[in-house]
Amino acid sequence: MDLVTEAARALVGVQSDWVEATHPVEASELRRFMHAMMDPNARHRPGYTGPRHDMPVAPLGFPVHAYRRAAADDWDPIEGHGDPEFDGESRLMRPHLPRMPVKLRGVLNGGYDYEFFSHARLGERIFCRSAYRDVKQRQGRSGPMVIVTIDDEFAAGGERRKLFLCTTNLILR
Amino acid sequence: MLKVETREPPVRFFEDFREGQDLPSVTRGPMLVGHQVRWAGACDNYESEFHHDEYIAKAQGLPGIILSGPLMASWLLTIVKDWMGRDARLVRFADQNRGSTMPRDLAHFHGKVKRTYEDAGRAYIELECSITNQRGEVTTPGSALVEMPRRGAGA
Repeated sequence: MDLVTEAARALVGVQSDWVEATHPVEASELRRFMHAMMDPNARHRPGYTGPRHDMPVAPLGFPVHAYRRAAADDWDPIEGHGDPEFDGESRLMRPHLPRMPVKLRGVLNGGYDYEFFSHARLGERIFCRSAYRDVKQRQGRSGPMVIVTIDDEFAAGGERRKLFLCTTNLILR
Repeated sequence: MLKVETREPPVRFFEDFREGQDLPSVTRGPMLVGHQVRWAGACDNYESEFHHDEYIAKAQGLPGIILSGPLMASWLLTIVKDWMGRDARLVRFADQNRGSTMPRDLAHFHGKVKRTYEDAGRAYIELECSITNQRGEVTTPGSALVEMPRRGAGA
């Protein structure tokens, strides 16, 4: 059974526009992120100044997880589980990419490759653009699976678009 | 009362590492659903219900709740930064979510210096790193490339 349809293949190479995270980097977000990661580094704490950063900075991987539900978003994403087309991958993290039409329900994160350039700073705006790099079918231990490869760039606002990081993410369907 | 130490790691230099060197292993756990819930809250991401609802996890064919791969990878990344010191610059990091981490599993973090080299006047260290569970299964293999300060090179 070919799970990678022409419609899915047609999305390879499609790149989104730059999309801004819901709000600039907030101190309360950094606090929760530090606690979740058990990151003891003082450079993420309010009031920090040091030789390399003159203000608190976000953990390096933070921009990947900075796309949150907007206050005006009244749609409960968990409702998506009742939708046979629910892909689970494009709501919060990449709402700016078109859905990858794959007729499998499960979604697992296969891992990331990160290339880091700079920290996002407290109060800084985060922008992301994404592109489908590849989609292919493989036979897994429990049946066929589809591997979707997505490239993301995360950058600051402004004309220069200072890069925070680039990632390549494997999504397993 | 839970005491959380907040600090920066000490400065370490390129000269402090050699190829083949094992880095000090770190153990965390037992892992709890609470760790996952805290991560979901930090990311404001509750969509993948198999991360916190055992009924749904089993209905999807999983053995039970599994902790988020990006959570485990983020812990590994944090420990890599700690190993390499305050002034190191993480250039690249990669992780694979190869095996599941479930509630009550232990997570052992391992690292080894794979290569040390210089390029265009900069000093780099390549690391192999991983998370294994209490059964010795590698759940999260990874790698990192770190630019290191040189001893005596000044700030």
